[in-house]
Amino acid sequence: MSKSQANPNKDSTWNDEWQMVIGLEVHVELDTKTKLFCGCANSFGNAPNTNTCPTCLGLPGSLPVINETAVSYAMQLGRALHCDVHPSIFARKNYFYPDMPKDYQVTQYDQPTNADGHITLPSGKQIGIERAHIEEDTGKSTHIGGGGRISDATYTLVDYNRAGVPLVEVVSNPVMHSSEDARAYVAELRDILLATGVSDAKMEEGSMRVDANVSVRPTGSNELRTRCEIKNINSLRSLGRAIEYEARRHIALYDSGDAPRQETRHWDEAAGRSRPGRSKEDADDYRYFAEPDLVPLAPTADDIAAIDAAMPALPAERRQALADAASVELSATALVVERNLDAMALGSLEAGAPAAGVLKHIENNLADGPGKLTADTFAALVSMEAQGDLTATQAKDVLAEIVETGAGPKVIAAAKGFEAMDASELEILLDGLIAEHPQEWARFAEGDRKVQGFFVGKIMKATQGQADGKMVNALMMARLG
Amino acid sequence: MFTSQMSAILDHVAELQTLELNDVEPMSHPMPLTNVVRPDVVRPSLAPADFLSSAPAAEADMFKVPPVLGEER
Amino acid sequence: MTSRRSAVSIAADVRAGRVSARDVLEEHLARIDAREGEINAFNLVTAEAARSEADAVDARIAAGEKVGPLAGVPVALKDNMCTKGVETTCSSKILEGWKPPYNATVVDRLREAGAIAIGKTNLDEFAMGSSTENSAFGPTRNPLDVSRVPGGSSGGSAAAVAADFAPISIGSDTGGSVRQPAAFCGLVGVKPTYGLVSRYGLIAFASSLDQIGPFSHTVADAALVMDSIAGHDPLDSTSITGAAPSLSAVLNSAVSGLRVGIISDLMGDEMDPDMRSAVNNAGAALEAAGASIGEVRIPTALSGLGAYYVVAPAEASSNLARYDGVRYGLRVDAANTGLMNEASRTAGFGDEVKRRIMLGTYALSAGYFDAYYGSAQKVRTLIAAEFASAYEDFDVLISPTTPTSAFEFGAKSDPVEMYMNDLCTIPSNLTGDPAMSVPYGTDDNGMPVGVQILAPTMGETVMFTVAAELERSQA
Repeated sequence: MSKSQANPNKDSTWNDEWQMVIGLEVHVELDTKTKLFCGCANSFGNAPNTNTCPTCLGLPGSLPVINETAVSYAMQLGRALHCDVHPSIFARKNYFYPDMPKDYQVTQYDQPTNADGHITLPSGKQIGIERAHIEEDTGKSTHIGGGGRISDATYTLVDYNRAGVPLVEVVSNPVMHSSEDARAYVAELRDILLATGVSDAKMEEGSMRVDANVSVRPTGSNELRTRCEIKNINSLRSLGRAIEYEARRHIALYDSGDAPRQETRHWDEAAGRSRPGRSKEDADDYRYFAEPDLVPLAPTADDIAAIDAAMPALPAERRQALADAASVELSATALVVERNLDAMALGSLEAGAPAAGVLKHIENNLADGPGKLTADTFAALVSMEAQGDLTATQAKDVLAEIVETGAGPKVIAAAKGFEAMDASELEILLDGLIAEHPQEWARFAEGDRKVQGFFVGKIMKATQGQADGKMVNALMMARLG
Repeated sequence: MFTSQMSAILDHVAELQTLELNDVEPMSHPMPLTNVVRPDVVRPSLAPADFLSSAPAAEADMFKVPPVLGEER
Repeated sequence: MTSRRSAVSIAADVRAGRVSARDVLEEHLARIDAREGEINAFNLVTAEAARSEADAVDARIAAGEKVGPLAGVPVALKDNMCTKGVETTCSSKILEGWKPPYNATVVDRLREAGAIAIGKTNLDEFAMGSSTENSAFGPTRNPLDVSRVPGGSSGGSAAAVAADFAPISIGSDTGGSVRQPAAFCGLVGVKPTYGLVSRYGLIAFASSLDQIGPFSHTVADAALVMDSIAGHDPLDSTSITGAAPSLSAVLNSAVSGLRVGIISDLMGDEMDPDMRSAVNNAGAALEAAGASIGEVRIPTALSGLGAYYVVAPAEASSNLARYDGVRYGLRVDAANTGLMNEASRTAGFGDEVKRRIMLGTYALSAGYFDAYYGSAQKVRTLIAAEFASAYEDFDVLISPTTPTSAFEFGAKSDPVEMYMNDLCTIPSNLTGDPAMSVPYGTDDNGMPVGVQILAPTMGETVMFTVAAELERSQA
């Protein structure tokens, strides 16, 4: 056993004898105006307990009434994840915790709104989704004393502003096998959420929370070994680090004849490790039963059709559409879609621009956005370069100017003096130079390559830098032969 | 005392098993209602003073409790 | 003491200016002063607030403004209904001193109708019981015989009306908690169709069974209250969506042609002979008025007791989890919140509540769910199907309300024996169908006997029609 495997804290290359198995549970806060079961504002950052009422405080006698927009958003998300939308019932998940106003959480258990979907990663890989169900969020606890850490607190303060905020919990199948895929999954889910507008999906603000279920198995096997749930992951980077750490921790245990315990663990980003944590949700038995204060949801085929009809173009579809139009690999389109420039690209392709140039410029020269560039001006520019009317350097320059001013490429090229210089004009110039500098030309003809620069420099000066250096060299070489 | 009372009650309840229940749907709602929803419109909330004054302990407009056992969530 | 006034006559007299709301109130407060010490119907008498409200009603009438159908009528409210700024305790130490920041919908509707809330009445703790002996604040006594219980869980509301502390009161009925005390105290008591009256602000015991209903001396008074409180509430997802039936309008409808069925399974030997003969007499009276009488078998009704004592405690165990000392109510301090939760509940809950929470937790737990809660919910479906089938042949059904008349304090110390009290009333809670108890004579002890009328879902009109006829037949 190598030293790097024995110590999971050290960065090391992955041992191919093992395969990671990762499933992700992502809680998404829906961007509705009000909470799931009451009319209190669904708003982040207000003074404590100012967005509360008898229902979300769970006061004796209070009752829930479902927010119709939360249901609609949940179904939209389900369809965006290619799920089947089902009739659903709410259930009570019973356990005690101070941030739970009723000491049960209203969620969906046996019959969730959405099931059996998938996410397509930019690489083209499909990750199956088991379910995406609706549930209510809890309040927030602040631990006082002991540096804010729960284990050293002297007391705790509870704010119920967040209690009752609508959540959708998206549960993937345990079919990811690398931290890169896990990150790509979460990034793609975030992009889908932003595209549909059902959540602002900010990990750093808690409107998207990721828990990772991690286990390992010998490569080639189909077994599912003991997994650990890792919580407190607050960024994509932490997600990657936490998965890498945890998988290696499991391997180290197996390699030493031990095995990981099934438990919930807490990711400590600062220390770069996970710690065991018995979360209060590790109750053995939640005693689920159908929520008697709510009646079932029964979406109709028309409801679902309306959602499908109104669905905006999602990232995976956009990548596929561009890949088809440009006849390139799916992976070549990822950055374009990420930059929201696929519509521009498609428009340019339709206007006749060659795909290679379109993609190249988007990737290399439009990182800061299109500015005043349009599909037509973009197409014209790319075509000019492809036809040799502009050099690569010139094209980049003109593009930057179109982005800033919105003027057409031909106008800009003319203003900059980037007139098309064809070979015959250069031949004439070369003739003149050869006549003026016969000794230098003779040295070039004998093989002196240094003097080549002399002639190229003269031509560049004569054309104010607009000659294509490569073309000049080619013409000179052709004269010799 | 509780145990023997619970047993007696559960014996009574055990009679439920004598009925033929295989093809019967459970009734969780007496009324066959579905799709009861409300519009996503903000309604007035309570003010913290409305309920914190009757809280067992409060500080800074939050409910104050002894330390919570277990890990952060 | 002034003689008893009905809610209907008070409302008419106050509206016509023949008596002031304030005078009516003072009559009732005087009766409370005279006998409440002996009866203990109330956890709280809200005399000052009631006086302000009565004065306000009188001022509106004097100004010629329109007032509601219950204007000036004192009403007592069971202390498990939220009254804003007024102590609401469920007769439990765990909520002693708690003042809700909001009103139950029924409380708001009564106020809008002009009724004068006179106080919060005693109950079995968290509505769990059939005698009001389980109150943390002492039992309520039956005004007709103070050595006997008034019934439960709404014993205080029943006693308040029986003692004429108020002409009407509001209770809640989960397994019979309005109908049984009504029978024990010689009153009309109604459990409406599930969903007809909003549960918003009713402190939950068993959510799929609880319903709010009125107590009164007369069927007309009960109809007047029902017409004021029933109807859709957007704050209660389980409330009816259609129109509420008008009950005051049907009290003089004829019963001729109606088909009345006696539930023979509830006429067995566990029923006191006086209860059975009352039902038979009621049947005969209806027949004399032109209805047809028959017998109907509903065998699964007897399984109701077992199903109820699984479903109700199960839902209660979840509904009562929130009493953890964090946000309101009794808190017993401890080193951490988990221990605080346990200590507060141990100190705050009485034995019957603890018993039912344990039972309910067990019935929901993994490995037992299918055998207990799962089965019980299926039994409900069977019972509902049998009743629905019976209602194809009958318009209403009748049965005893209770196996016996009001028993003496301490007589039913064994919980299982106590649970048998609910045998006749439980089926309607399980099916959600309406039922009401009307007083029908007395037994050998001189205690009142109640006859229960049962009707199909949203069948309150035919139910009240029959009740009115039974009342007339005794006049």
